[in-house]
Formats: sequence, C-alpha cells, structure tokens
Amino acid sequence: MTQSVQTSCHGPVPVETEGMPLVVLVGQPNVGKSVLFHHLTGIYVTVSNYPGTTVEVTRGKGRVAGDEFAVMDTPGMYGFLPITEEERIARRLLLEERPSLVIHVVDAKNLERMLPMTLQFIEAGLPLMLVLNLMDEAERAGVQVDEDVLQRALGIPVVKTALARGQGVEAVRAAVAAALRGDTSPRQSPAVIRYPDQIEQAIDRLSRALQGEHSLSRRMIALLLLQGDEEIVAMVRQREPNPEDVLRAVEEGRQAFADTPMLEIALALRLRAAELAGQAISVHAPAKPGISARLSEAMMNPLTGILLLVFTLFLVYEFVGVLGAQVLVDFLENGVFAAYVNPWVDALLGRVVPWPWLRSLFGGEFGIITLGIRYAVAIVLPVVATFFLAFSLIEDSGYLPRLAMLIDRVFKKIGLSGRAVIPMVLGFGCDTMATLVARTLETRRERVISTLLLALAIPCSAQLGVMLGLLGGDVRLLAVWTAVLSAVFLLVGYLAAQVTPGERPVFYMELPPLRLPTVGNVLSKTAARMEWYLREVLPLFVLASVLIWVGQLTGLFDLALALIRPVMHWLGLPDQAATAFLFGFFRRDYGAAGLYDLQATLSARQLLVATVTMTLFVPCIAQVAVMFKERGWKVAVGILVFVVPFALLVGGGLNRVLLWLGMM
Amino acid sequence: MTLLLSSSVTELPLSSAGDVPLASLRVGQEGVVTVLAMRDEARLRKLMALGILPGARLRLVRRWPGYVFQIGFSQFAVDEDIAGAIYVRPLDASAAADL
Repeated sequence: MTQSVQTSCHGPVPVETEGMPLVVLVGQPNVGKSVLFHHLTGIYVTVSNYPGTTVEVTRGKGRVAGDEFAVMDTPGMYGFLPITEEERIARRLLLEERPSLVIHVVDAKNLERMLPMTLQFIEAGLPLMLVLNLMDEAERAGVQVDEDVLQRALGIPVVKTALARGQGVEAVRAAVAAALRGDTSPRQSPAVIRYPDQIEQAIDRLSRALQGEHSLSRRMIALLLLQGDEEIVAMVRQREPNPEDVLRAVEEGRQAFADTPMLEIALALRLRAAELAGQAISVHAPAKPGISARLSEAMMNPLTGILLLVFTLFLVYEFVGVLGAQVLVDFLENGVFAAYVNPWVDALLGRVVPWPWLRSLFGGEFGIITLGIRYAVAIVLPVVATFFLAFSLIEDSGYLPRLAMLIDRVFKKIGLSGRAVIPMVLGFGCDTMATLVARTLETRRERVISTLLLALAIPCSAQLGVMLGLLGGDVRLLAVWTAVLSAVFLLVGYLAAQVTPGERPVFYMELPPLRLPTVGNVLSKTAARMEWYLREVLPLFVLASVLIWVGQLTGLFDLALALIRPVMHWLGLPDQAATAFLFGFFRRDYGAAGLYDLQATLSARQLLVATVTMTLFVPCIAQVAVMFKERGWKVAVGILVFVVPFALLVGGGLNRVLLWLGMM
Repeated sequence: MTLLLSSSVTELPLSSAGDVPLASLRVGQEGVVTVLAMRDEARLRKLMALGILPGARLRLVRRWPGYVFQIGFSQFAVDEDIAGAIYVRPLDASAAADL
C-alpha cells in the first residue's frame, strides 16, 4: 500500500489486507457510501449529513463466496477534478491503489446530477460498478429507474439499493463477486461521451503525445491536462519520457479556448448525463406535496422557523439538560459513586495499600478513581451521551442545512456563513470535535473565527451539563448567564470579523430532503462519537488526576493555588474556587465539575461570576491540541492569549456590575 | 426533468438581453441558467458539480432570509452574493412550452 494513503489512515487496528483484491467506494457525500462499507465489512463509520465527516480513509475486509477482499471508503468527491484536500486524497487513492473494482454510489433520484462523475470514472478506465442508492426516496418522489438501460449504455454493472434499509445488499455482493472473478469485462467500456470537436481534437493530439505508463486512461489524462490539473502536470513531468512535448501540446490545445475548456467539458458531461437519465428514468410526480415538504418550508420561513428552533432547543434542553445533566448525573453521582464506588475504593485502599501517598493517587479527594473516573463517568458521560444522541437525530433528519439557511444573515455579521452553524451546534457537544469539523468551512477566515468562538463562548456539553445543573434551579441566573455568553459570542464575533483579514464568506448549500432518522443509524453514529470521545477524554481525566496528585505531593499545586487566589478575589470568589479554576487548566469541564462540588458555599452572584468566567476560560487540553494541529501555532497562541485575560475581564466586570446594581 | 439548451453547449453569451440574476426572479418563477459570473474557480467548480451550471432549469422557492431554488429533485440555498452571480433566462408560460 502506498505511503500517501497510509498517512491519512490511522485507525486503531490496522486491517491486514495485503495481497487481496481491492474494492474502493466513491461518491458524493451523503449518498450512503459509509453504509455500504458497513454492509460489506461489518465495521461501522459515521454516516453524516454534511460534507467532510468521512475525512479519513477507512479500510476494512469483506468476504464473498469464500474469497476475501479489501474495502476502502473514500472521502466524498464531487468530480474527477479535485477542489478540496479530501477530494485530492480520494482521487490519489484511485490512482495509486490500483483497485480491482470501484463502486460509485449515487443518489438515485438525482441520477442526472450524479452521472457526470460516473462518466468520468468510465473515461478514466477504472473498473466500475454503479450503485443506485436511496431507491426508497426516489420511489417516494415518483422516480422509476430502469437499470438495464443504464447497464447497456454504460457497459458496467448497475445495482439498485436502499442501503439504509438493507435492501439490495445481496445484489451488490453478488455483483462484487462477479466483478472480482472477472465475469464482467469492465475495462472495455464503450465510448460513453463525445465532446465538442475542438476538445476531441485536442484530446487526440494529446493522447498521441503521451507515451508513459499510467493508472489512468490517456483520454482522461488529456482531459485533466486541458483543464489545468496541476497534480496531473506533475505526474506527466515525473513519468513521461518527453514531458515538454506533452505540455506544449496542452498549450496548443488550450489556445482554442478563452481560459480552459472546463466549462465546455462540464456541459458536455451534463448534457450526456441528461440524455442517459432521460432514457433510464420515468417520473410520475406524487399527487400532493407531502408532509415533509411542508415541514421543510416551515423550517425555512423565519417566523415558523424561529418557533421550531425554540421548540427544538427546548426538547434538547429537556433531554440533555434535565434528563442527562440532572436525573442521570444525580443517579450516578449520588446513587452509584458516593454510595458505593468511592467508599468501597477507599476501604479497599485502606486495607491493601499501606502508604498514604500512594493511596491518594487512586482514592481520597483527588484520586484517579474517586475523582478522575468519577467525573468522567458520573458527571460528563451522561451529558455527552444524551447530547450526541440528540445531535445524531437532528443531523440525520436534515434539519441543520435548513437552520444554516435561516441563520446565514446573522452569521454574516460575525464573519461566518450559515454553514458554520454545524460546527457551532456540534461545539455544544464537544468543542474539540467541532474544531476538527470547522475545517469543512470554505475560507481560512471562517475557520479562524469559528475556532476562536468555539474556544471562547461555546460551552461543551460536559461543561454545559454541569453549568445547567448549577444554575438550572434559578431561572434568573440561567437567563443572565445565557445573555452574557450570547453577547460575548456576537460582540467578539463582530470584532473578529472586523480585524481578521480575508475574503467575505459566501453561503451555498444543498438542502437534503428531510428524512426520518433510522434507529440503527442514529445509535451506531452516537456510539461511534461516544467511542471517539471516551478514547480522547478518559485518558486526559486520568492524566489530570495524576498531574494534580504530583502537584500536591511536590507542593506545586499549593503554589499555583496561591497564585490564582488574588485573581479569585478580583472576581469576588472564595479561595476554594481557585481549585476549580486550576482544574479548568486541565479540562474545561473538569473545572466546571469542580465548581459543582463548591455549589453550596457560593452566593448567587458568585455562582454567576464563576460560571461565566469558567465558560469563557481556556479550552480543554484536547481542544488546544486540535487548535494547534488544525489552525497552526500562530492562530492557536493568538486565541489563547486573547481568551484568558478576556474571560477574567468579563468575569470581573460582571461581578462589579452585579455589585453596583445591588443584585444578588 | 432538467433540460439543457443545446446552444449553450458550444457558445456561452456572457450576457444577453433578458438574462437576469437569480436574485430577481419571483418566488415560483422558473428560469434556465445561462452564466455563472464568478471569479473563484474552486467555487465555480463546486457549484457546477452540484448541478448548478448553464442549461440547468431551476425554480425559485424562497427569497428570504436566503434564496432557495430547486433543480430537478434537489433544493439549494444560497446567499445574495451567489444569487446575484447566477444569471438565468426567465421562463414564462410560452417559453416553458418550447423547452
């Protein structure tokens, strides 16, 4: 396997697939590639409603008719000419891995829009199979597809499926088995498309100039060169005996066009796709607009849209804030840990471990089990689990792109496009994950601003859960906390938009049909996110416990506390709050959980100041790490240098305003 | 079904009388895309890959708070900038019959 692909693939268990025939799945985002991958291999990866989730290349192993084969799931791609890094990786993989079979998964009801890419794969000489997925949705929309017509016209196997419901999986497996046995002859594809004469002539000239061995057809290489594909130019320089002759032929070929024949080629592909779709598809429009069309309309109408948003937020609050953060946390914290686990651990340590210093590593006030694991399992886990479940449901329903449209005008004021609503909402679950997802935003400026806002003003679900638990008893406190954070979000966003250089964001997004989420998909997606979270977070909780233990033994902890206390006084908080803020350096939610322990000793004003400051304060270790990795050290350091004093300034200011108003 | 104007394949008039930005269509009005007037090549390619390209027939579904239009069975949402850069030839009842 090639190096370039290895680097983008670092799953936990490397699947040994050396020497097996390779099947590669390709297609646009959100058409069911990942579901097919799961059906073929039994390993599940996140299926998602926004581009860029399948960022990493996923490998697996499948078996048909006794023969094993390797399967690769690729990042979503829109065409053979790559635009994003993900598309570049997907194409490189097709070029370098020499697959035995490429499966192009498409949305059947949008066949006409999907076929240009199918035509390109065929032109590239790849051994192709076409899977018409989401047939259930197509049929509901009144679309019938005759796969035989396509099969004959394209000269490749075509299978109809509804993969989310498990329909057609056996047919795909049978077709894979046939293709791997070589029963079909995929490479001998008929001439599937003819471009305008000028382009065909240029292709002919270029194909004759090409002499090297390539994993792409010469016709496709010629087409890509004509469109100015730099990666292919580099490939020509590397592998062609006379690269200069080829590049000169490219220049000559391009002279006939104003810039590049990109648009003409895209049009010809589209025209041919329309012709094919016209032969293969028959449409019988359903009689009346369904309930989903009306709901979609209500989501996008500002009036009803805002009501639906408030209603959704209320449901999420009831589920995550009340059931997760209050009922489940109370049960695990008091019913399980305080009642059984902690006394049992302390008693066991008392009997087994004679040295108090070692005992305090595992038990007591700050032990790995009694503090680290307790926070992770009892306080954080219920909130994160309920949030991810709610998020997966909302995501699978197709609501988020509509929300993005609704909110685009507001987001433009803070330098973001509506698309940024996805990482922002996800941030309420896990800011670390959201900072990763922010890479799908189009401009660097948007990525920087959203990273700043995620670090500053978006509390993650672990933190949010504890904050809601702390403030939830008093609606006034919750209202002030929400108001201050919203004001900070908008104000800092607005100022950041003024000072951050770069182009204005633009918004364009496909609105996928509203779908009723399937239980299986929601659950496995939630499980995948939970697994990621536990793998990233639990070790850090243990690490934080160890660091605090070391800090206490060496006296560094007390020294740090002494340094933080004056800051606490400035915020009008008691000395003990210093401990919670010190925890906050290790993990944001960890600090919040520390406040939870202090709850009884704080006045309403102190509680408010502490929660506001803590929410704005430094992000957790994992998020900082992702900030450095994704946005570079300059941006990451800049954000941190801004966030810490700013959080204290807002907290101190709030304290003084509350005192001056004589409130609380 | 989306239809394509055969003339737009070989020749693309940069502007032609009667072509208007998508932003000036009425809700419910249909049009055929004639020109995508934007500089950013990556963005242009992305829009084309989504199926928004000359020859595509669309119907405006909503103008506020964003522009929503339908091509075939897909809906797209765009902001004012993009809606101002997609030029369409509006279809009235008689023109629609020709296509």
